[in-house]
Amino acid sequence: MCLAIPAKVVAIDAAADQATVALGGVSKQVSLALVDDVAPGDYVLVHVGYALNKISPEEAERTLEIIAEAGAALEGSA
Amino acid sequence: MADFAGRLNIRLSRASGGFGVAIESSRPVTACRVFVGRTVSETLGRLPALFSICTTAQASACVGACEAALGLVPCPAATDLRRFLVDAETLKEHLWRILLDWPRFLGEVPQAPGMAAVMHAYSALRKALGAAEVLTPGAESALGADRTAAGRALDELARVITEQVLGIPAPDWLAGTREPEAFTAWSRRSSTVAARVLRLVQESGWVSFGATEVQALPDLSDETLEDLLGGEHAGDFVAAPLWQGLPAETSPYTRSAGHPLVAALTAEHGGGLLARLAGQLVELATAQEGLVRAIAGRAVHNGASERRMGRGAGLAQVAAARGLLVHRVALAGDRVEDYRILAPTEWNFHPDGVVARGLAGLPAGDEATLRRQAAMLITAVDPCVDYDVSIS
Repeated sequence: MCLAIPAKVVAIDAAADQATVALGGVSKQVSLALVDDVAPGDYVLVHVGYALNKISPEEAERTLEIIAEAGAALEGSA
Repeated sequence: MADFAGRLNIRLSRASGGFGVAIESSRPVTACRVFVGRTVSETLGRLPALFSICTTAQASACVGACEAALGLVPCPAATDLRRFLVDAETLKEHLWRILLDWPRFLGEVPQAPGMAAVMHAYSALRKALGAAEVLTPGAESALGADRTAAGRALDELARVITEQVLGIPAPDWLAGTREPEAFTAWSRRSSTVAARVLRLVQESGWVSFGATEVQALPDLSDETLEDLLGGEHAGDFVAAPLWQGLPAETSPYTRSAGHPLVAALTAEHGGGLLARLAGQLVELATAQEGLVRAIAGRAVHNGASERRMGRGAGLAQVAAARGLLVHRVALAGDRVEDYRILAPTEWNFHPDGVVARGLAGLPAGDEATLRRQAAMLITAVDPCVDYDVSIS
């Protein structure tokens, strides 16, 4: 699916332009090269190792809910 | 959750005269079942969360399918703007490949600042053209379009394409590379990553890698697709589609196959790496030129939407960045009863499709070279998800 998943920024390595994000309970390194002004605590959409854009916590929560619903629908149809 | 996007697992095993290739996909092709029982506006509201990369093409297909089911005909200006926005998204997606993925083929770092500028410009363009209003069922007008701001965003996209991809403005590049000799001369002269990747492919003798006999998916009528996507085998079809029993390809390459340069390269070398990468550049340059002309040209003509008799089911075909995207919806009143999406990745990365067969024909070299060649071929066809390649 042509999908980017919301993740919470945990820590930032400014020199490497990288962030550690929490993604579904797993911590992951992503590049911040495509976004501006990201701080720890922010939510970003993550796609193939890049943070795409900043989103509000409410938007992140809503997006995760829809993805979870779709995941449940998948299991139901499998 | 992190794996919800799905992956392609591509396995190459050495065999006599080539490779055995197995492609397994965990793409959640039936995730759109989540729309069942929702209203049209709830469906449209949920779509961007599930399709955040090719949002515009997906939204355009969803709106078009719902309109067809409801009997709504949007005004011509909205239809034009939807096409324009999808083309702009294709531009952005091609630039992602060329600026972030292609440098790796040369052992260089991705050109992230260029891509950051593209993302900014693309988002400004969407805002300037009122994407949210235009991508609404029965859109009445395109009054929200701010042509000046859209023009500025397009100028910025053109600047990145000129400076970081083609080396010269897109119209000059298109006019100057219509023959294979001129194209080769450009790849030797220009110092952009794109030019140097094309030079590498030619100088390494990789021009024909990945060429296969897989057919291009022909234009299909809405009625034909309705039969395939509305029938009882629709679930199997969207997971591993075949056309008349055979795999088919729908991609930037098949779309650009009629262009003089791509046609000449295909005639000479087959539909391998050279023709494919050239096709992607041709589509990029053509799209940029077309968008500039569209924004500078005709005034936005506003018109009313029309209402016809709805048939309860409808579908829409959209030329998305990676190929043909089809949405099909069946409504019961305002609620979704059935929803199917047929995406290009399922055609192109079919277990017996163009990538599987192309990889099977790669020459047996050392593992590092083989990995590089496989990555180039996979990227040239372009899945919309991450992938792994294993070689045994």
